[in-house]
Amino acid sequence: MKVKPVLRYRSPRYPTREQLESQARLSHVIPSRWKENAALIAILTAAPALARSDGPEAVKKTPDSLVAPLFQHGAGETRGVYGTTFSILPVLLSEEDARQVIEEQLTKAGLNMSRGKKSTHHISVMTVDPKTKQPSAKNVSLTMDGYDSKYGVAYEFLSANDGKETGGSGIELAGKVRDALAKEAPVGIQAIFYDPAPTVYEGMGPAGIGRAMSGMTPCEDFGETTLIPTGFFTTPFLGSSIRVVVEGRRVTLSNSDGSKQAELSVGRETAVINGKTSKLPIPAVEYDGVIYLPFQAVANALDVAFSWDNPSGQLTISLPVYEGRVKNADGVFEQRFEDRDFKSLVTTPTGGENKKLTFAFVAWDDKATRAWAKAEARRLLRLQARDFAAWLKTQGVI
Amino acid sequence: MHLTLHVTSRCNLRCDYCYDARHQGGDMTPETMRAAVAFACEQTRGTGHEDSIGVSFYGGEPLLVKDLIAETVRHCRSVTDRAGQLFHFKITTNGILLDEDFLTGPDTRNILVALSHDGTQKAHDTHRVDPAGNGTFQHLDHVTKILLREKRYSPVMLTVTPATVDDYAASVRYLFNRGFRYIICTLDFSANWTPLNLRALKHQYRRLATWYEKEMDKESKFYFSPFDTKISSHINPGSCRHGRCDFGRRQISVAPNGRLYPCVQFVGDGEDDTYCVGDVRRGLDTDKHAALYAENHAAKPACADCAARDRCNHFCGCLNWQVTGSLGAVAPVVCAHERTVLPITDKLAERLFRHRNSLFIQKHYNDDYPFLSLLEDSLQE
Repeated sequence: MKVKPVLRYRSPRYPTREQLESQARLSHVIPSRWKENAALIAILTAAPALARSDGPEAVKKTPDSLVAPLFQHGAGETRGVYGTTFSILPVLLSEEDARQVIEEQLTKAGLNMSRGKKSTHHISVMTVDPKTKQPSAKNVSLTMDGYDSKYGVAYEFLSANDGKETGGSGIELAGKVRDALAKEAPVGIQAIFYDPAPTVYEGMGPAGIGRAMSGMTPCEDFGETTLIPTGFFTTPFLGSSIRVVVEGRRVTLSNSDGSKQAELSVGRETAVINGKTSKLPIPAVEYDGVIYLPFQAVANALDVAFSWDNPSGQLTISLPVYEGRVKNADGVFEQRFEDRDFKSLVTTPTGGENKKLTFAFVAWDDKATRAWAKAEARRLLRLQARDFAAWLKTQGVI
Repeated sequence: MHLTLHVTSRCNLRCDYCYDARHQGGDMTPETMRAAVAFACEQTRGTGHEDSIGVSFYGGEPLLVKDLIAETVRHCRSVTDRAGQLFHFKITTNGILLDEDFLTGPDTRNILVALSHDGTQKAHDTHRVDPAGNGTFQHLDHVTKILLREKRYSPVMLTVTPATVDDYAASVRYLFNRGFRYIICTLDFSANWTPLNLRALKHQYRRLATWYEKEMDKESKFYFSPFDTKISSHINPGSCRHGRCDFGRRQISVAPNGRLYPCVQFVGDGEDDTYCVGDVRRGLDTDKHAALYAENHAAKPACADCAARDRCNHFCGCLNWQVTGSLGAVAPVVCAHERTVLPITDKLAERLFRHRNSLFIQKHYNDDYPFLSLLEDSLQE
């Protein structure tokens, strides 16, 4: 037997102490038993040893407690804000639904939110009494809905009803709870999620809210009250022929040479069409940061040809034939439509094969709309959880 | 400063891998013990390390001279009263004479007890036998119980030989299941390790890595020296080289006759001159000690190109001397062992870190972990 030097040895993929201090915050990664031990928590809170290496600067870099910022997706509203035309039909997620959505997303990020005993935090939240409208401090025991002891990550889902009870929207309450939690600085990483509570509007007529998303429930009918997201007019198919300017709650649309123009405002029942005030069959509405426009009125104003196939629930937009593209002053390729006569086919921006542009819409029937709204709520909550997972990565936690 | 007092050379066992098999050095006298304590006080004075001197009782079997041990503690206590010098104590014993009186006695109850135990009965009785050749495993059953009852943090020292390597993982698990949480393992490097034995060793370390990870996932608190020292050698670069006896600079051994040696392995009967670095009465032969230290720390040409040398025990002169008879000649079996244990340990640590194992993070990256762990245990009592 001889001494055999190891000629190559890969650097281990776990950090030295020095590397850890400069790259990650791990002081919250503590055994689950410790989290239930007040004395240990007190010591860890007072002296986060993992962070304490060479002085106060190191302590500042690695706090023992982290409360994630609020990830805002969905207004979390449960009250009407758009005037008398619409009444509110809140679509809320159950706790069980919310947990499923959140944990499904966090599981993808490598967390197991059923690992370890859930912790309870006592916080004081400023609320407004719904009856007296007076602000008051409310002591709340917050038992986190999920916890992963391996990473020291916990989350709490606040339902929209929680917001209602405290006289504010879900997002407002979530912000207050988040701040109160940060003030208490519990050990580990905490996140607050809230019910996005996308609201749908009654009284819009048979076509209801349109979403330029395929695969959704088709409209039972298409008509004057069909709404379509403003963004639809800026798709690559339409973007070069229709100019859209959004200023706050006002949307101005015009064709490429400015000869046709429509100006609409959220909640206003009239629009300025080619310089003249016209009554709209349904006003533009805004929710979840998107302004929806009455499609038929806008299309007519801009001479956009369209057809509706009722059995399939498909809307076909007809656009001018693409003839070429040139570089603009910034060197960016842009489209130009020379032929002002709308044809029956849609062309792609690349000028290749002709395609029809079709969309499906959600019908305005209560069942279908609520199903859509629930899917929308889950989507928005999923985005909150997705952003939290991304944030955890930026913190070096996962 | 750690003072290892070989209070006797005598032993009541005849373990065949013992490096002091002759046991002919006799007992240490109280006068030599006092001179040794005075020597340690003198050595630490003004060094900045005088907070507390560690006194280890070693042998032979130190419990053969319980009275001297008690007298040593009382003497140190008087030094504390007189000069303010603090001491802490440890004993390494085969456990045969360990009893409740020693564990709870007024002079001896604060001595940390490290028990030599080789694990399963099969492994233990292979080597750890009495003068008549009888295994001592059964005797330690009761000893283990009272030891862990009185001193839950007692370390256990396990020696692995080619004859017991197949029982290595089982022995560690046995000791863990008995309640030991500080498991110190070493190989009998002086034995004849064949390639087959080394393959078996690798297999055992893999099994131990699986066990270690499972226990860490269960948040079990424990220390397993082969893995924990290697993990530390990466997390705290340089710790491998300076965390041990440092060849007489951190720890010095005193033979029963008062002669000084840089490691317990050189003591024998206290008659060897080659590695003797002084005497408790006449003091340290600093020139000789420095020369031996330099010889031990000289770069090892055989390891010059090794990518793992900073995390390796090749610089441990005692191990090298034990096998090759020279401080500077690296023992091939030490090299083979290091090449076996290092990658297994690193893969284990990578998994634990990737999974953000909380105990792994705390144990290896938190300076306060020993205190926090102790506090947790205290609060549970």
